[in-house]
Amino acid sequence: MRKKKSFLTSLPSGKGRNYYPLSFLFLACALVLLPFGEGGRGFAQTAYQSVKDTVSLKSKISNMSNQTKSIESDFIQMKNLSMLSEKITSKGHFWFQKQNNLRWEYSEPYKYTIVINKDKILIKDENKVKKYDMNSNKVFKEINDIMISCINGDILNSNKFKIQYFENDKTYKLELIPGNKAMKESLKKINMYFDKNVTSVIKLDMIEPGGDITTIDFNNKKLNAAISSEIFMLK
Amino acid sequence: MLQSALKYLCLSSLLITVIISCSPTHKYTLRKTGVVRDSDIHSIVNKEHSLLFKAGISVYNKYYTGLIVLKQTDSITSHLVFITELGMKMFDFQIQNNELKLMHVFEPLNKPKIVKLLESDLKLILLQNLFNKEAEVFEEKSGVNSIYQITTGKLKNYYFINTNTKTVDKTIVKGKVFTKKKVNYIYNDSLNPVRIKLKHKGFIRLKIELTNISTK
Repeated sequence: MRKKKSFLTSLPSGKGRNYYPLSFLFLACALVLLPFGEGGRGFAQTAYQSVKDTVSLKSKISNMSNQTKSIESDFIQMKNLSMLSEKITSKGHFWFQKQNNLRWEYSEPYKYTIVINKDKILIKDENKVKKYDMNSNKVFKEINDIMISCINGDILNSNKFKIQYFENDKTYKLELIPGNKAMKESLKKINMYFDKNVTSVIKLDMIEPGGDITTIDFNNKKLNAAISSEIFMLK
Repeated sequence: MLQSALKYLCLSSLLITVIISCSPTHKYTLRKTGVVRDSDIHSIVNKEHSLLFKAGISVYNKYYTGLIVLKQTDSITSHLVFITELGMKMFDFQIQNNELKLMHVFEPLNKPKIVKLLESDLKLILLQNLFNKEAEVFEEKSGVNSIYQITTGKLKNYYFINTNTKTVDKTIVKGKVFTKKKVNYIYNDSLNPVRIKLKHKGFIRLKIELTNISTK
């Protein structure tokens, strides 16, 4: 009897295409790159201008990444379906611990959890748990590699994305534009916003070619607090 | 010779009896024949607000989970959009004049066989094969339940209607003998579907399960 595959493992990874849900990929990247701060919503949207001293900004980001051992935060995800003028809001909590531990858990209006525990990926949908080996899937492996490059700061020099740096009086904005053709089909751009002291990411926008946007706001952050290893397990 | 003729007659009668008794309408009486109007049946699409479902779609050994948004966008158009829990759009069907038009599909699902199946099944779930079609209406003695029978080529669609609420509680698609697909619906007090389950019978391994998680 053939085992039923999940969306994640069923995606073809051959022919030079990687179809993993890119939103998660970028999310994973953002999670491990920076700690998250308060007040993601409601900051004033004044005009952004290009950052002049990008070397200094990259250095600050890299330093912060080095200092971050763990992050815990609530999140609010809003999916804006432009054609339908419809917003879908989901809420949850996430935990991250260096090097390779992540738990991303939705609690409202549905229960869905993804855990990355070193070389394992676990998914809990309602009460069903599925386990996957990171090394058994090219796409999982790529996610892991991107996560590592985020941790050590290499992502800022990555040829996978063209990164542009902007700022206004209150925030910095990094625009990550995928360089890979397959990625471009699914994702036009990701915007990462973080505070002017470069202490935290406050918001993420993932913009699809059709104009749909997924926005994630972070709040109630705990930085470098102890996290039980049980958090990165699923039963 | 006479013995074998009798044997043949008996078997034929038995077969006819089995086929007749297998028909969903065999305990119902034909009341009328006519075109199904919007006012005859409660629509799955809510005209006032969008519906949000937790969705599980199992197709050819692949299992996709996510959210389905069903929304009427103008007086004649609705959309059914499937996104993953993480927010990625998998497909978007536009519903207009009882037809589904694919507006977007994520590359791994963009296979003619899968798209055709999805389109056909979603059309069935959304009762698009029922409205504006010529139907034979059968009624139970009590008058509580009725069946709308629609014949399309070799297939017959049977819609089991609760006469009081005008909701479709079950749909069966039958070939000449065997059931091909079955859809079951459960509704809340506002007559919005809270659970919809579609299952194929036979070789096609496709299953769709929707659970309403709308806050409205």
